[in-house]
Amino acid sequence: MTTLTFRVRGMDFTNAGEVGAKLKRILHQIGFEREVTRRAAVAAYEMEINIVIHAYEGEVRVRIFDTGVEIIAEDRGPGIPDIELAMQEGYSTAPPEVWKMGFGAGMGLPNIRKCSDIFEISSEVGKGTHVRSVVLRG
Amino acid sequence: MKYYHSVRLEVSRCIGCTRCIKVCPTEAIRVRGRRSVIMEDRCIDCGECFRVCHQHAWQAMADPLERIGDFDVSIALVPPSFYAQFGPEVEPEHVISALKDVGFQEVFDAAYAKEAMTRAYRMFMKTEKWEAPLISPACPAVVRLLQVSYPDLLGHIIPLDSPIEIAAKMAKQESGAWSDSSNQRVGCFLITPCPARVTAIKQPVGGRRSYVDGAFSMSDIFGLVFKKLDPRKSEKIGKMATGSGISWARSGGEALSLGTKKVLAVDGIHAVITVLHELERGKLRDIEFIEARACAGGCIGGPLTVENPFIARVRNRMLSEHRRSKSLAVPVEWVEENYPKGYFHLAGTIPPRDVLRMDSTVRGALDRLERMEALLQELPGYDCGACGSPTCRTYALDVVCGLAGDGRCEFRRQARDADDGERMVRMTCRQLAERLGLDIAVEAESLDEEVKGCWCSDMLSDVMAQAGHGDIWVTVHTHPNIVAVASVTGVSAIVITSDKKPEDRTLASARTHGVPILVTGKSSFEVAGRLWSVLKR
Repeated sequence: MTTLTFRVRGMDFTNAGEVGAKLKRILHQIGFEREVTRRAAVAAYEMEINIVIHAYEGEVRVRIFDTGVEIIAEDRGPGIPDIELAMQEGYSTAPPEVWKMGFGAGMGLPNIRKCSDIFEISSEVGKGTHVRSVVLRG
Repeated sequence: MKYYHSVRLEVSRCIGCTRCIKVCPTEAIRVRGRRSVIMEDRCIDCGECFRVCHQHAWQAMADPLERIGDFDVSIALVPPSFYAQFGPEVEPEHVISALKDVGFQEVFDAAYAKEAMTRAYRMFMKTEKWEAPLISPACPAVVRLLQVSYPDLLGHIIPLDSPIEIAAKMAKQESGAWSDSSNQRVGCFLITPCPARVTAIKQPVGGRRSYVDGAFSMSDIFGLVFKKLDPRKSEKIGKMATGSGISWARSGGEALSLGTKKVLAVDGIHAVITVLHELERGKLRDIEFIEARACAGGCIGGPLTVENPFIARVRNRMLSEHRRSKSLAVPVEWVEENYPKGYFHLAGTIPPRDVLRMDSTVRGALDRLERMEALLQELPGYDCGACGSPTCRTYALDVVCGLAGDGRCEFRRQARDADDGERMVRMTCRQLAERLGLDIAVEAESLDEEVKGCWCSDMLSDVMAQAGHGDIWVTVHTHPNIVAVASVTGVSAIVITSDKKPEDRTLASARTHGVPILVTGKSSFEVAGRLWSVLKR
């Protein structure tokens, strides 16, 4: 089992996407199936982008097992008041300047769920959000 | 799979300087035993090593010019980058004429085929399903870069053949000697600006044989053509490109020819990597077409060109502006007729080269990844290359994959030595006395205690201030006061050097207080030195 930790800063669009790209590369090197790699990379990418857009700062922690990948995103941020609403496709609270950059389509969380075999989310308004995704191999 | 390589190392010239390992875009080179070593399956023949090598140890192989004679009819395939090697007064028609004087029976303008490609790209984008952005198949080094480093992006490459292959196909069909009735053997030779294309000809992707029969280095043939240039001799050929096809020689030309604004042009292999990285990060979905060239400036910046790429760029731009035309030279009907027949399509798919895998099993790879991350913590992160691997990360990977020994990092070794200097060897006074050949003048219990440290001084107040419990004290004094000092500070033994004999009162006091005394004929300097070398290892 290998643990990788990535620090993510809010509004840091210069490095946004780095976590997904790095994870994709590593899983490829390890020899994970393409489909598993793709799902894990997308989940990690969306989690990272969520922190960049919505939170002040956070961390994406990845644990790689030979059976799959666990990705946990934890942030210090405004939190999500209504998780059910946030999980709906197309619902977004992203500011317009973010939308102009091609983000904030309201697909992030639904995308993570779609890619995950296990998906958990919890949030406290004014504190932050915790997302856990597990992507399993076959 | 065995790979053909046009870029090769002349080992006897290599001095192991590490310049090439740092510029290699696929990290395919290591220095071992003061020589560069290439990892064949990773090399993409881009020629970056060739460019930076001061020793001219890296060489780019093309065909020897004598091969013109191998065929009854030899066709020269001239890319537009070749025209840009000559002065502004030299027109393509002069070059064509000179090439015939050099020994070619026919000349084909490759830029003409590039215009056919422009039309074929448009047909592809109009009639087939594709995911944006498309990547040009024109630069062979870029195609191989994707095979090695970005296998997931291979699906973005337009699945059409390279313009040079199409050019050779057109040239042969165009040639009067090319027919079933003619028994003449027709050969097509490219005048190439880069070794990457030589490899693509010798070993095309997909495995099909190339339409090009050989390649001559632009720098090899330049002098011959230059000598034959004659302002009075200029020959027009039937199929000449307009400015659009000519502009493919410089970066941006191919992208511009598509006539859409959603294009991106990037040149220089390391710049190409930054764009591919963005693509991997999920960006650039608003771009329809990426023109990527391994050489800075485009093909005019090829490693085998003669003219300065910036000057060549001006020449190429002036020529393409001069020959600008509203419509392309290749008739749209011809492409529309041949495209559906598969004239432009690549025979096979472009396979990934599986060189990134860390181990054959996932479990093994995970184990290696973990060991690699641990080793990385001990490496300085300077990416100096002195170990023979291009970066610290690559070195760590090499070590866990068994491609390098783990003692090659000089900085790690130094840091370890420094750490070791602070560590004491665990040893009792008695063992130490034995090791150093010290005689025991007074026996006492603390001889069997572990030595914590050592203090060398003949100033008693200094010893009182500095020496501590469990230390060995080295001195030349012999009077009874030393026993008092030893008792107060708690040193575990006194070593009296330089063959000095302790006074009887001293020996008696030592016995009473239980302070061991060791004596030796060696000087304090020598004893101190030996103590250091024994204890601090």
